[in-house]
Amino acid sequence: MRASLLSATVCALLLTASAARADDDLDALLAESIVTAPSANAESTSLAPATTSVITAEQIRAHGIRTLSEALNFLALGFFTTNPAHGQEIGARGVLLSADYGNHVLLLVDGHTVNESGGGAASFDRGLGIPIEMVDHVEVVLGPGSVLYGSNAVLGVINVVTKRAKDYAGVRLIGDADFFTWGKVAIGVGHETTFLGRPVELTAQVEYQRQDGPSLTFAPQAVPDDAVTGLPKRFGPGPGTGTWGGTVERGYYSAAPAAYVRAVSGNLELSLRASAYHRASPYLDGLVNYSGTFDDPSNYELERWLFADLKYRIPVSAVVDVRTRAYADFYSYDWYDTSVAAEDCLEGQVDGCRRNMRGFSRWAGVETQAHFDWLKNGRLTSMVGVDARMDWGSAASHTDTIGSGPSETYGRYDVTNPRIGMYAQQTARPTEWLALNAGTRVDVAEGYPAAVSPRASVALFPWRGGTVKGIYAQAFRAPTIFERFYSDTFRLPNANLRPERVRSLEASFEQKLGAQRMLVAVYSSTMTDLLVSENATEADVARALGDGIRFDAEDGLYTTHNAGVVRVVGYDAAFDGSALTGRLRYGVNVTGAYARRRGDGESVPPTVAPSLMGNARVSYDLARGLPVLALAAHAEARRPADRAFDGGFTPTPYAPPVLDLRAAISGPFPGIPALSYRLVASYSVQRTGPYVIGPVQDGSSGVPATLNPVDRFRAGAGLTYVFE
Amino acid sequence: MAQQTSGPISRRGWCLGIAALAASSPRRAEAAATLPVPLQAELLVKVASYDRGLRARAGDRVRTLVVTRPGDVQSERVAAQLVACLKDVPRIGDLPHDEHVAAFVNATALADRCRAEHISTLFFTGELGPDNVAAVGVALAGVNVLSAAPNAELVRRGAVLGFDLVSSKAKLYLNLAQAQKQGISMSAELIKLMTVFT
Repeated sequence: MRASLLSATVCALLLTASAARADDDLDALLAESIVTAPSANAESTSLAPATTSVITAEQIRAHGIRTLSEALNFLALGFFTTNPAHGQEIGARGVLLSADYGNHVLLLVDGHTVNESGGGAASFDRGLGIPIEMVDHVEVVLGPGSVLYGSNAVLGVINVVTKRAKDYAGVRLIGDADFFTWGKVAIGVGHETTFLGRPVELTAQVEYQRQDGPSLTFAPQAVPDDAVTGLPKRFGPGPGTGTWGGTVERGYYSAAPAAYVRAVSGNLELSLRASAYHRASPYLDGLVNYSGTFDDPSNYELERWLFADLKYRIPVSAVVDVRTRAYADFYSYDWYDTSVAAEDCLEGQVDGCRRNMRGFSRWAGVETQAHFDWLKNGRLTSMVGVDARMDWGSAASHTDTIGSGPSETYGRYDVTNPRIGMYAQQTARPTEWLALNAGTRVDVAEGYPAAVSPRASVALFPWRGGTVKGIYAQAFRAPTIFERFYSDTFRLPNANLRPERVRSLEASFEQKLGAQRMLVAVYSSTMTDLLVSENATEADVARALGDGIRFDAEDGLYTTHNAGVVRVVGYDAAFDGSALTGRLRYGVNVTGAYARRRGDGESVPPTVAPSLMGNARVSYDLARGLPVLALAAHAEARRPADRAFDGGFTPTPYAPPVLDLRAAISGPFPGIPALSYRLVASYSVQRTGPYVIGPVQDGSSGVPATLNPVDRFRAGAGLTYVFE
Repeated sequence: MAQQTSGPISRRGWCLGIAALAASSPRRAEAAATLPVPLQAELLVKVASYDRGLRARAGDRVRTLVVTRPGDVQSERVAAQLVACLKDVPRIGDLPHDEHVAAFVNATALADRCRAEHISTLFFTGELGPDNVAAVGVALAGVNVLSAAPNAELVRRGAVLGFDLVSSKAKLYLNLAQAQKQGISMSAELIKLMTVFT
């Protein structure tokens, strides 16, 4: 009897363990994220030749996320964004190159490159122009990614994938607001139908966002008398006081209309985007608004974006699949700034001036990929591709006088730049425990040297749920049309720039156990030939004169050189999972980095970037019509301000540590199933950010740096009604 | 459609049948919009281990018929990939197995072939269209087959089991009424992981 009981017990335990292993296997399969950005083919993140995390639509909704920048800060591994009040800056793994307008991160929307061709800029906040409700998931790929995408993929690649009609069915009316500074209204539609006998699906949304304020008060900053008039400098109408500061009530706002359409019929897909981002910053800074009137709503930036992308897939045979797409983009940038101080304006503009910098970039191209699945089971695949495009860029600065005086136009250029990228990738999975991926891309363009971007990855699967990966990759950022050709009274062009380059080596270990996942990665990257603004040399001046470039200044001229180097070593660690049949979800991400930027004989940490950062999240679905409760936090260690090492301030300005907290409650409205709600509250512990603000941008006067204020508390609500 | 035995479940010859209406759907143009075929195959194999009636229905081996849409290159491509992936699996439900490919004719002919050849796995590739899916569901009533599709909508219309890609993750769907018509019984542990259409 005892032996029988023992046998039965052992058998039960074995069966339970077997069932548990089977359950774990299926849980792991269902918890696995499928991504396309790392290798341009759908695959699990374990197989992908890059450290990749995914932000889901469910997470976006549960945590009250309104923008891509919030999603990256609260939910992603390795990336972070900061807000200098005129558009987000983005960095990753301990590196952020301030004032780059996001051109070191490649941003894709449904596989379409968003970074504009004139300056490489991409917007990660409200200016993205993709309604957040339409986002199905965001693939966040760390490390160099030029092997398939070319320029800009230096710190990583972010691919925003929008929903299919089946996941966005019906007509939805959306209203969302933060009390009392921001609001959004939107109409979205998802519909499946047939046209000429073929199934067609359409997903689209039109929206308008407006932000006003909050009202911010800035302590007075005294500046020397106007160098032209000898009188106290003016920052507004009336006699000058020589002091900047006060309360901003009208000069901090943004407006962002946007529309996105995605239509799919058979193997044909069309995406269209139109958006604008109009924004005014409440303060002067060292990034964009270096001078200008205080609390003036007519000082603003305006960006407009249009793109069209037509994709067609041709399944040729069981082995061969061809994908081709044609795309065209348009981007414009306007910067308007008024100054009533003579020293900020041109000679003769004694009463002040109104400046406008206007730039346009257009680009269009065709890309074709051929995919070969030689064994028809995904174990031996090849891909070759070519992307041919033409870039057009133009810009000019115009300074109009206020009152009497001359008006001038500077720095006009109109440039055409053809370029072509050719790439190939080979994958092999000779055994169940080994996966290989190797590829390279060559980019050739007029005006700068060709760039070669190889990548190689080895993934080992030594035991159930375990993955050990090693990756080497190189990437580049091409010098932009703006960097090569723009000039003004103080800035000289430099058409002889080389691409920035990065080389990176990383190793990672991942372990999955059912729906739980743990990841640890270590990395080392070196970025060289970084484009930096430096004092113009005699050779630069001679070249400008020889090219007929107009400039007025006799000294203080600057230009762009390939001179910067950044080296970084660090680690990423992540743990995420779910329990209670997926109703409880949680995750933690941490990134630590030791980074040093070299230039002018010194080695300093990159400014604005934290050496330690991370986020944590938890959400619980009460189910049965009850809401989802969610908490998230984002933290960064103390970091140097943007003018820490070139402003000569004493003490050296450092931004305090960051702790941003977010709480959200969302769910169906009781009694009205078609109506859903979301309540969101955010709180930031830190009072200031990492940007030196105001006219005092250096320490020569002995005044300490003033850092940008942080909007610390916001609460809001949103409603969505779906007609199906 | 009547079977040779009186009840919906036969103890021999009727095995787990899986009909996957798969990735060559015209709606699934982008690779990103569909589950990779190797993952579809892996999920089907995993789900088989939760099928309570698999052993009784399969007999000595799981027989798989991969059904394509006539003249559809994508459909034939996915079929070839599915067969190749399944051939890499040593056993399904701890049973030996084999796979074949055939073009779809009509729902009645398919059900007849299923009975005559003791097909234990039906694997549809290609979009049959809503009317055909419903007809397939009717024709397979009483036929001990697990029909599956990589498309939640087709599960709603008549396939028993489905998986789809939602927000980068695979999701499982079950048509409970159709499962009962086709004599399919899944373990409670699996059903907890699925979205169930009643």
